[in-house]
Amino acid sequence: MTAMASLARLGGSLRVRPGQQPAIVGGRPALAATLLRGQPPQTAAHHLPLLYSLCGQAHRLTAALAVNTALHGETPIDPNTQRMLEAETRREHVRRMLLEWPRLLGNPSVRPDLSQLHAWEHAPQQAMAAWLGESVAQWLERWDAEPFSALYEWSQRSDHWLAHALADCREDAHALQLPVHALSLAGNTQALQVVAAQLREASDFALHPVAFGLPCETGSWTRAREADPQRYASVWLRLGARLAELARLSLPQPAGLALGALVLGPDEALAWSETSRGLLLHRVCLERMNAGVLIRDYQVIAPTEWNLHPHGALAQGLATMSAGDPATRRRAELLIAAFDPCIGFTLELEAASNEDIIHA
Amino acid sequence: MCLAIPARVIELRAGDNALVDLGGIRKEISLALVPQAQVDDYVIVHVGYALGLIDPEEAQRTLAMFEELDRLQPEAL
Repeated sequence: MTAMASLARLGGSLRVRPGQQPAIVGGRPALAATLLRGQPPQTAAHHLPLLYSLCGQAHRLTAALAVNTALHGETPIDPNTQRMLEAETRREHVRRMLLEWPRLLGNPSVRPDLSQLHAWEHAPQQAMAAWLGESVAQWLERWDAEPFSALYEWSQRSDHWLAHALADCREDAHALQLPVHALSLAGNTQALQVVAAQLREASDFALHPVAFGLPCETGSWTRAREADPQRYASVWLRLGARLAELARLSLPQPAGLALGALVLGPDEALAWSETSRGLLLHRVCLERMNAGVLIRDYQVIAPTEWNLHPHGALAQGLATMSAGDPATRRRAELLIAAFDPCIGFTLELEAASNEDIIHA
Repeated sequence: MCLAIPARVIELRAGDNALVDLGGIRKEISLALVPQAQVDDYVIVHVGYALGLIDPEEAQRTLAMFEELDRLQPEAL
């Protein structure tokens, strides 16, 4: 096996099959336990960000929180930690919108100026205001009051490429109506303990997780701070929720992303953080040996695993599409842009005959 | 893929592009997000873009970690 094939195997792969059953085939291996069993506790916060470097900061912070909570009990959250999580989430939203949205939303000829990433790092509020063409706070006030009309009005009025892209895809994306089954674990001690017990008991639970016995979705529209995630019931509004979150994260004191931990038992803890793609969970179990404290078990549930559940909203949305409809490619790409899985995938528009590698 | 892979810059090319060594394969990627990268620097690559620079020793440790994980993984997912 070549080095590239090995790396691809570790990263996993998906076959996305609109209008077919199953609509999503594949996944990725659970690597955390293999990587960390028998290692000193601090290894988790060092190794996991190297492995999952796209959201490396979130993995580092969540691992440190899980390990410290397992070692010392309840651990206070440093405000700087919160700022680092917000900065990484903001950076990933901007990257995805600049690099992927023009193509996935149907405007592949648009080439956004990537040099603006520098402005996003150093003056995010001004960068966001330049995108919106108005004050960020005013835009968010309208979005919070009535998301559809706020996004519709802005996408019609603004000259920004992103507004044009959202206007161009509105009819197709808003027609993709999917009820929101929000993952609402952060801060819900009882639900977190149930998920932790399932992680402890079944080695493959992290690959197809459920909460309350059901597949749930996670993303910008299901944050712990969000009182009414059901109002983002179309793909267009889920895309809008990502833009609104970017706007919120550009403010100097954004309403925080959830970050926390729970003691599960002696030397065992669960920690969570909200990342650009949704809720990230780490469970650690330590053991005290003569040689010191070592990791006995470690599991990660990334947002993508919730969203790729074979009976989840993404799979159901894909399965209900018509395999032979010429519009299916565009609809599938819009659905994928909203859920943004972080695994390379192949889009199969008709049973294994018309394949297109979209993202690898 | 979710994993972002360390790659060594072999040659700078026009249009913010570069040839890199990515797990033994030579591939052209964009340096538009990391314009300061130079030949022999290590960059983290995702979806054809260098996302950031990485210390060479850290890059080697990361590649070694990938190799070890691959050795320990069962053949079928």
